[in-house]
Amino acid sequence: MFKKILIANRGEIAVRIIRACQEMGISTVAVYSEADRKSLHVQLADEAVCIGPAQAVDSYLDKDNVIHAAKEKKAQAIHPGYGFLAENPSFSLRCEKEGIVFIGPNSKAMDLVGDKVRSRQTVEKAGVPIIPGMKCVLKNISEYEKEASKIGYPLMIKASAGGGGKGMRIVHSHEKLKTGLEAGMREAKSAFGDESVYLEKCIQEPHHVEFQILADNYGNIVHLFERECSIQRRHQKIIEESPSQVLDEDLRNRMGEVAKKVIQATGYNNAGTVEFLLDKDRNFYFLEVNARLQVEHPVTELITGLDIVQHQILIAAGERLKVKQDSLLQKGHAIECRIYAEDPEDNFLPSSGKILFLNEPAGPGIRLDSGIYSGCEVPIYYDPILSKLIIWAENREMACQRMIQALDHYVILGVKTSISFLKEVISSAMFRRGDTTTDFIEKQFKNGFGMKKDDKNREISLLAAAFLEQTRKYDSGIGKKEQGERSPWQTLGKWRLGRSEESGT
Amino acid sequence: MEHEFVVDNKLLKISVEGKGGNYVINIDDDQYTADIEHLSPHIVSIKREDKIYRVFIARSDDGFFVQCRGDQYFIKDSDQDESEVQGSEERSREDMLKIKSTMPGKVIKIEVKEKQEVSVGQTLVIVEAMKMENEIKSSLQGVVKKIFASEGDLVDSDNPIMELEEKK
Repeated sequence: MFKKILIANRGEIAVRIIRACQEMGISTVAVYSEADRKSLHVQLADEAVCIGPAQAVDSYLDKDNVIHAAKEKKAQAIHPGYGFLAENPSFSLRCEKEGIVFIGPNSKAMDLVGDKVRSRQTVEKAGVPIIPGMKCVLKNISEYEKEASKIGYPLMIKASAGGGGKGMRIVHSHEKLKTGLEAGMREAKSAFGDESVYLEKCIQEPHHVEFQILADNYGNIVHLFERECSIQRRHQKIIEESPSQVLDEDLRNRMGEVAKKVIQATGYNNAGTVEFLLDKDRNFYFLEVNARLQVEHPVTELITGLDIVQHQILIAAGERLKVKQDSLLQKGHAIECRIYAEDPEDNFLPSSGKILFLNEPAGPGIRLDSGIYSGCEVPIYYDPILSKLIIWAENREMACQRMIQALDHYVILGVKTSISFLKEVISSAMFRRGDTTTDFIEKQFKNGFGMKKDDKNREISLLAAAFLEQTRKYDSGIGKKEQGERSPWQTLGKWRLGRSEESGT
Repeated sequence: MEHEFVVDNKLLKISVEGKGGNYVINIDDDQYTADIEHLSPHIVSIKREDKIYRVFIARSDDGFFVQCRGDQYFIKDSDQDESEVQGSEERSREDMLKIKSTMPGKVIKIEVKEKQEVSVGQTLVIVEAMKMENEIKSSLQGVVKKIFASEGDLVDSDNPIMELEEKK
């Protein structure tokens, strides 16, 4: 087993991985940019190395700096988390060459599944159903236009190297294709350093269902059931759950077996996720393989009882999978809410700044994977995810109730967050019915969202503010004359701790 | 002692008078009595008509962030804001002419040129922040008067990227 692992990430996921390492008795090295010296992940690791300036390109995305840090600290393995270098085949290849174990799939499989066009051709040959669309990247706009009219509108523009909704756009008509392509290419270029995009038929009102996979280096593959990730804004997931409300036993088994087939056909190992779209008629199409630990992995951990990060480390160290498909059970219901620093009342624009106060929910069935603390700064340079609130309960209804209570007790003051918005989604009748297609947000909130607030709470909040303002002004001396009262500390005179007058020597 | 706050664009006058743990509070013309305890620097317990509220509160430069039973408010100091509340209509007009980024970021693409006519909803500039592209659109019919930034520039949310002139 490894003695030391470098975690090439930041925020909540770096914290999550550091905790897994600590439980396994593995020493940890954090890396950080100049903007992150005070970030939580740095404080929790055993050692920490600064790998460059705030801009991710010069730090978290700089392969040389990360490798250099790993060699200097003699780390035997690197865990990339998600984002940054997690799905960069040249980085995992570089690790292999430097004799450092990359905790993730082998570089060949990553290269294959990372290329959305080539991976589809591969799995299609293995008999996996795929969405109709283009299977290659074209050179100029007019070629795209020709292809687009063949596929038909609405269609999706997707980044070839993509993921996380970046570079992805729906185009409804021919007139919007050119600007959509340009914007998609720019976003792809800035997010992944590769501007190639492709087109695909847009499946309307689909459910996004994905299967978590574990595969060891000896061909043993298990799936850890599905996650339903249909609640999305700007094509980014914000709520995930398991089990899905739309699968029955038969469909679940069939999709799980197809997911394993995808992993086998692509020569994939370690933890991964096979994404499917499920249409109205319960047809499912292979979407892509996410060659990384996913943001929403805790949902699966709560319903299966397995620790996916620890399994990743065991697999990377060359151990055989001990879990068998037949012994795996989906127990109860789990829901995850992603807490972003963003303003739901202003188009989900990211919000940055200082977290002035933090109070976290706790109680039975509540798990919080967080990267923040009271007093920390939320920098503008990175993805605005602050934390993930994950709930487990016996059934979906109880999980929803528990989630609403936990969101109510989650206090983050100082930056705008998505908490109140998430509460509104979970409380909505449509979500309760399990009617969670990927256009949920547009459908449910087509008239915008005015957060319903209680008048009484507003009144009480004002009382608290007035009370505190009074105290503040009093403390700073403004109101002292009007207020005769003084605290005991002020009237006590000289005093000394822990000693009475008589015992004095 | 009297304080002035702005909540949801409304100016409110609040006075607090304390007797023991009990306080008499006037918000504009309404009077309340409450038992208030300061539990810790950021937590205040308010008891009113036997109902208990645990209120979380933090001071920023220009007001208070407050959360009570899951609802969050920003309660602004009135000092710098009185003119803003009254002149909010004129101010928003000016906001529509001075095009600013809503948050610090990088100018990715400027979609218009100086002297160009623009219509409502037309994209003026694309700014990238936190890896997301944000399109800033014109909210009025007008002409681009001056562009202050170029593509690739880092911009903040205080200084305008460009200025429009309204076309009547």
